[in-house]
Amino acid sequence: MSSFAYSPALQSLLVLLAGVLVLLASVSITGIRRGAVSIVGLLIAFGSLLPVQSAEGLERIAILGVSLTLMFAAALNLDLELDDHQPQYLESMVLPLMAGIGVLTMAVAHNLFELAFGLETLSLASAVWFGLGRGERTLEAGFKYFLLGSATFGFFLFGTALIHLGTGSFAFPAIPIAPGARLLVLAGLALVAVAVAFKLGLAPLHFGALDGYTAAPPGATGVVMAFSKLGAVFALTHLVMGGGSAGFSRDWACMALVSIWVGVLGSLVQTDLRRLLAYSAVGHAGFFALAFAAGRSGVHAGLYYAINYVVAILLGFAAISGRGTQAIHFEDLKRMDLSPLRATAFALSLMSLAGIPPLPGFWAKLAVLGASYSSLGLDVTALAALGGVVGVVYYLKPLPDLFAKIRHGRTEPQAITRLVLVVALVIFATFSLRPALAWQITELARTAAGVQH
Amino acid sequence: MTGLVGWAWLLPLPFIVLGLLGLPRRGGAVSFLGPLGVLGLALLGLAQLGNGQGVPDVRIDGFLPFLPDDAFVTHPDGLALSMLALVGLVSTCIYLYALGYMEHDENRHRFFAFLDVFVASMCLLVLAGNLTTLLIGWAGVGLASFLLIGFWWERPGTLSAGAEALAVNAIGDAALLLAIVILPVGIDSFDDLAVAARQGSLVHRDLIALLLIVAAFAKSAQGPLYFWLPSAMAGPTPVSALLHSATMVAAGVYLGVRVSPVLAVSPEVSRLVLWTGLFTMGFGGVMSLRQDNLKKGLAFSSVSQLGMMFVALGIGAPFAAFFHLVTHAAFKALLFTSAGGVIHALDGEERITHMGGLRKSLPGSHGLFLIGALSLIGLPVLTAGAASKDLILESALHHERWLGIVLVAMAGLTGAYAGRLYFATFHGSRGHGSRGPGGEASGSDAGANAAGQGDHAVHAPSGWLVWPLVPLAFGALGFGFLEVPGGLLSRALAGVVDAPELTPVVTRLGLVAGAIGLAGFFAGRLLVPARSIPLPAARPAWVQASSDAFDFLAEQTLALHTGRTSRYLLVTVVTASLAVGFVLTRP
Amino acid sequence: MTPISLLLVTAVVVFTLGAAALVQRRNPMSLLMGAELMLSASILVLVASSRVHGSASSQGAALLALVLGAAEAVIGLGLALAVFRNRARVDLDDASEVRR
Repeated sequence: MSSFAYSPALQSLLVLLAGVLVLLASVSITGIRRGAVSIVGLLIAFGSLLPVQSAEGLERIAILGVSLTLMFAAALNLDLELDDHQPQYLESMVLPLMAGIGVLTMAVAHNLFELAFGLETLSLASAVWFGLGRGERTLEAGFKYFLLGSATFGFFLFGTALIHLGTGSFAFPAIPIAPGARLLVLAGLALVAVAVAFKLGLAPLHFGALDGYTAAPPGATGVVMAFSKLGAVFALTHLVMGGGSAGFSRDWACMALVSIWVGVLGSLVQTDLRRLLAYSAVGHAGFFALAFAAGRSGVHAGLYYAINYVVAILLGFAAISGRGTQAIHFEDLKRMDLSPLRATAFALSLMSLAGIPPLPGFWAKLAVLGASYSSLGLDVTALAALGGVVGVVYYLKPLPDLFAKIRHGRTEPQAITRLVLVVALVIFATFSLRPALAWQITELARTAAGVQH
Repeated sequence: MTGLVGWAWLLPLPFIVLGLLGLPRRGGAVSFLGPLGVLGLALLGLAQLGNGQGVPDVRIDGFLPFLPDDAFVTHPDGLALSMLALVGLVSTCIYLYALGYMEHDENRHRFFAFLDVFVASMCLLVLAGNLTTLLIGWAGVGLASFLLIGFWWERPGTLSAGAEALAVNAIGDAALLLAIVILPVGIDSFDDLAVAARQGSLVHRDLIALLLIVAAFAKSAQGPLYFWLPSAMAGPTPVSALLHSATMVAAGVYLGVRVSPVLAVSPEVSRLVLWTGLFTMGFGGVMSLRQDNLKKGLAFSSVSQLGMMFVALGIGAPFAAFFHLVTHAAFKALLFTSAGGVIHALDGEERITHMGGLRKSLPGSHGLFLIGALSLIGLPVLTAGAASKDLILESALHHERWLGIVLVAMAGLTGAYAGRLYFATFHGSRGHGSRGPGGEASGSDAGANAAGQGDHAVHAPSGWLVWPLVPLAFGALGFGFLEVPGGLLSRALAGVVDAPELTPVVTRLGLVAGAIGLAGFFAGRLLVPARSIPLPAARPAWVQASSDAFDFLAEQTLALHTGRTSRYLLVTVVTASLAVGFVLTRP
Repeated sequence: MTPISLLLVTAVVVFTLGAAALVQRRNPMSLLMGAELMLSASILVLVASSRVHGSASSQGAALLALVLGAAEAVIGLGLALAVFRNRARVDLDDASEVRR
């Protein structure tokens, strides 16, 4: 393992770790208003953002993505505390911090084992968080997510061990030539890839994520969706930059296409909005995979896709946060009385996920399709593009209901949620109008390409 | 000042914000200033071009760093400015018209906000200097179309019509997206594309041409993709007039004109365009004759006329196609809006079998509709439609003799459906066809029945539904003079699209076609339906079949997700073993 | 057969048994045990590898993996208890309300 050198992401990580300790310590303090805990969480999230200036490459993306997501989580948590008169569990702030630590670890990981550590931290925190919501459905979702996650984690660890046996190190492996080591490393890589695909939500390993995202509390879902995609993308970046995917582009691309089309078909006749978003996560996983299937030249597009996806997802879930964990059917939208701000945010998020220009989701799709065309060819790209635009039909189905009620919305969100929404909208608008900005942010500097490769 | 022309597409946007704030109290009362400003800027730009000076581009380099074609460009050349002026003019008229038409709708603010989205997107589409910029507008108009078709979302059928439009648009968007992705490095504007095509150095030339044309077909409801346009009539009439006849559906033709140099070097695709256009032209005309619904009859007429423009594109006469686009926008918008006046006066009745004899009670709408119809059939000399149609006929005759003859014959078909709609609406007696099948036999009983279900009180039309249409009527009559005899339009387009030599105002071919058209027009009176026509199947069979197939696949996909964790675990483990086995057995 | 291949084969067998338990069993406890079995197989390989390559890092990793396994077991038990507390019969597929 390499030396314990200073890195900005490490600093963020330590801030988060300190935050976890502070929050855990405050459990024993009685009488304190629980909302204060969330404020602490918010401050921590903000603190973890500070080192971003000196970071570059993957670390910068990781710090930005994780800190923004955490701020969002903390703010929504605070909103729930103030709104419900039913205090949430304190842990619901500790858990996103833990998950964030997992993702940051995955980003700064120097080798497969550190990656495994981050992955497991993320998985366990997400599963527990899912399980914390009220009601049978949420518990079930948490348990499924946990069980499938631990199964795939077993694959990951066994794969890592096989690779170590083959190469004598945990470093992200290139595929070796020597016959004995080659078999071990190939088998190991296949198992590792299965686990990463699960985290990404790639079909046919999407079941756990799908059910989890459907039934968990909306705030938690948004954060976990964002974190899982980020974590998986960082893992893929390491693996692809390490040379472990060479020769398997077409296979990944096939899985990507299957995933895109499962996402499309699952959403086509879907009437539950939350389930629709969950299926959309599967479809988007396909686009992530497509970017990385394109090899090293696609990594940048994949990271770009990730950052734009995270922004859209957070916006969407912030808009419907605090609305319970029951299924939201399209007809329910009419009764939901979303305020104009919420409805606008939700509509924009849906349109971005659908890939309508000039929203960030569209630019990201364009980038991925470009990368896919230049290294995978026309057939794959055409199928992906078609899957991408067919999606427009079902994403936009709820829009008329949404707009129809926009004028009558009465329930204004709490000030803090309003603030989150406005901030998210500003970022969203910036990424829409200046796609080059997000592209520069996600650029892996030549020197820091893949941090250490 | 002319530097602003490239930003003209921004003008309608402030009114969206105003609308969101609920201002002004009469929703949309000032929104027409947006398109009016667009018109002004376009005319300013054209004047500048006329002085022999160029209008500066707006160019943001590195806008999309991940594409070879990475700039955001608006390029106000003659073609763009002419189209922009057209869009500005038609939109202004229809905004004012909509003020009257939507007067009692409580969601007016939203309606005008959606229209603003449309106009802004359309202007961006028109001004775009490269495919990427065009795609932003392209998708924007698709979105606006969906929102506006579904505007009366409580009414049955509107949402499914919107979804249909969206689905077809999605096919076009995918094609355009692919075209952008496979466009070779270094071609970052339409001009570069034209140059590369002319030099024969364009890689994937045929594929790019095909993708662009598929996109155009989807937007302009051509060939098998026609079906969404008649369904789109579920939207309010101003929408049908502005989006689904005059401007948005013409965007496909506009794209075809823009990339005509690529078509010119790709004979196979050109032939495809020709035959699809010809087929659609005939098919649309025949379908129009079978409609009971006034707006759908007009919609099929749009399908047919757009087909004619594609014929012109297919034979390498892009100028004629564009000229017809301009005149068509005027007279078809006029037809729709005056038909809307009738529908409004009859409280939303759209069936021609429940109309008739309205020329006395609605003289304004009658006169305007007649002007539009005569321009549609191409009454020589007097109307704009004749001038542009002449040009297409001449080009067709020049291209292939039989094609010219077929097109002249089709003028009769055009006349027939125009005449049928006109006479059914404005002549004869009220509710002439509202008796159900076999109704005539049951005498007085049926008459009472007809009065009960068919006759709405005709209330006097508001001035808003007539006066804003006067400029359109002038356009429908006079737009021909833009080209013949002066050649104004071809000078404006010089350097972008080559115009053929000037044609005289009266040609023998034009007279023949006009005569055939007029004959068809009066023959159309005989075709007025005597009774209600049962609604034909809403969708063509292949659409229904593919929609069913998708639904079936979707159901199967959902059935796979049983919620049973044991099944999920099985799939996970099997996938992992397959992955390992697959990797290890590969050489 | 060299001792190392023997170890590897044992590990693969143990791993397969764990995976088979995941596929075959319906009781949440058995499933958790299956998952733990897979982790144990991995630890076995890690230790074997440290022997082959003479590196300490994989031994350290083995220890850490033990910790991860313990954490997983704790959380898994907690969740399983919460899910199946109110049910008379403990069958994995009884909780399949989130579907389609």
